[in-house]
Amino acid sequence: MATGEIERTERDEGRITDEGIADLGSRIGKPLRHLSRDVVVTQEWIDRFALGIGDLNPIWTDPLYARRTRYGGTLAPPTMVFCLSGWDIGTGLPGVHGMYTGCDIEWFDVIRPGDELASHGHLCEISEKHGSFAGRSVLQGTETVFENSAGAVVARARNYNLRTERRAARERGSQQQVQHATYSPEELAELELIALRHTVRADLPRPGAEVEVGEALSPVVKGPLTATDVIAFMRAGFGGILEGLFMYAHDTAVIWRRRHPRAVIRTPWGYDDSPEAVHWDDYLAQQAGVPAAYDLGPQRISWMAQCATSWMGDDGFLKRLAVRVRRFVIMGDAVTCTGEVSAKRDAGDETEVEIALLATNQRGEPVADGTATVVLPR
Amino acid sequence: MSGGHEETRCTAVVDGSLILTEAGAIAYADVRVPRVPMPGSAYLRIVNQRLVQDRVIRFERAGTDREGNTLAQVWVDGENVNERIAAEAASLAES
Repeated sequence: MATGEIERTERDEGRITDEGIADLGSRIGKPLRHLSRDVVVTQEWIDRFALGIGDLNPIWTDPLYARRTRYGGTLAPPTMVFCLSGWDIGTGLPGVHGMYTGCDIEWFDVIRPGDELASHGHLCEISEKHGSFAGRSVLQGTETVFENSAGAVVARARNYNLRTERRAARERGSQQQVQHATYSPEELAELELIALRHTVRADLPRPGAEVEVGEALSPVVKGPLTATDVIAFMRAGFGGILEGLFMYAHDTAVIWRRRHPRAVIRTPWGYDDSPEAVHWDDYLAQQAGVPAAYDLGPQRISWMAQCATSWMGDDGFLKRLAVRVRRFVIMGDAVTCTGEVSAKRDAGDETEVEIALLATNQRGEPVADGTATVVLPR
Repeated sequence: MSGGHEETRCTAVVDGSLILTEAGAIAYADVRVPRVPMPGSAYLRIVNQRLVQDRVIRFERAGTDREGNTLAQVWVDGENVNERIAAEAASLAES
């Protein structure tokens, strides 16, 4: 095939340059088309999201139960905002890998089936970094605002990505010592037991007055991580459908690759795949310097949020969630999410509770930490 | 079939009618509840957790199910858990 063949060599892998950073800086504050989206939230969509993170809170997915709550129906898990707009993992710096590093999300109202939400967003900050993983890198943040049909802001989400050169990450090999986890039958049984023992407050009231600083939340266990877990999360539409994550198939993928020839990752068999495949394909993850396919940051953050929403009960409201993603979670890793009440303050007839969240892998290493702010009836 | 009452501790709840105990997995006899994740299942699982998780239960064997779980009538603090779960399931469906 001589005509129009896409010639790709190693030099096609993107580089972080002064010019690229300057170009990125010039985009700050300007609307990002792929963060603009109009959606209608449906029960099926909520089901896909809640089940995609393995969250069995009945107020999300159980209309029989939820009609007895004060809302009279189901709600969307708050972190479903990750799926309600497009996603920005790579504005600017073509061919430079993007890795999610965290969020700071505020909610101002619950989200229900039938809600019509419009989102819009922009690049809000960039900063140059130097790290052991890939050397020179760029941290970039976007802000996405979600409004309902009355024009009221329902949520505001800041998300952060670290842009790294794939070749630099491979050559440094800082993650090469990380091995795929193995477990004894006893260890697997223990993980399963923690998962099954997780408790959901649901319709039992949790008055703020009864909450004590230092109180531990029921832990959430996710793993050992499988490709199925990742695909179940993607099935919820994470990152948007029309634009956002690069989840295009067949003809659409052909056209997308023509438009973005440096964004793809070449397989060992000579054809290209989406960079999103690093989340289920070990080889492609290794091309980005990671020892195996790895989870999605918003997926992990949603597990941590589950810790807080299960604890707060139906009358609680997750007001804010700020999480920093710290390490890769690769296939086979098991993540335990824990929470502890770190502060509380009364405000009128409500109590605002701060929860320190921590996610650790099976080696006891922290893979994410953060803070949830929950509002409870006093 | 019946071998009298035995006691054990419930270590975890699988769903509205299946629990793990120190004596093995026990399925509630004559109780039909929606399977996770069908509507009604998540709440019945919570109800079951509240009733028996970490509690000492009394049970009377009534055979085994197709998966090899012990089928049993189960009591906690004198309350028949099988009947309670069946009642909760009916209440949820009618509410």
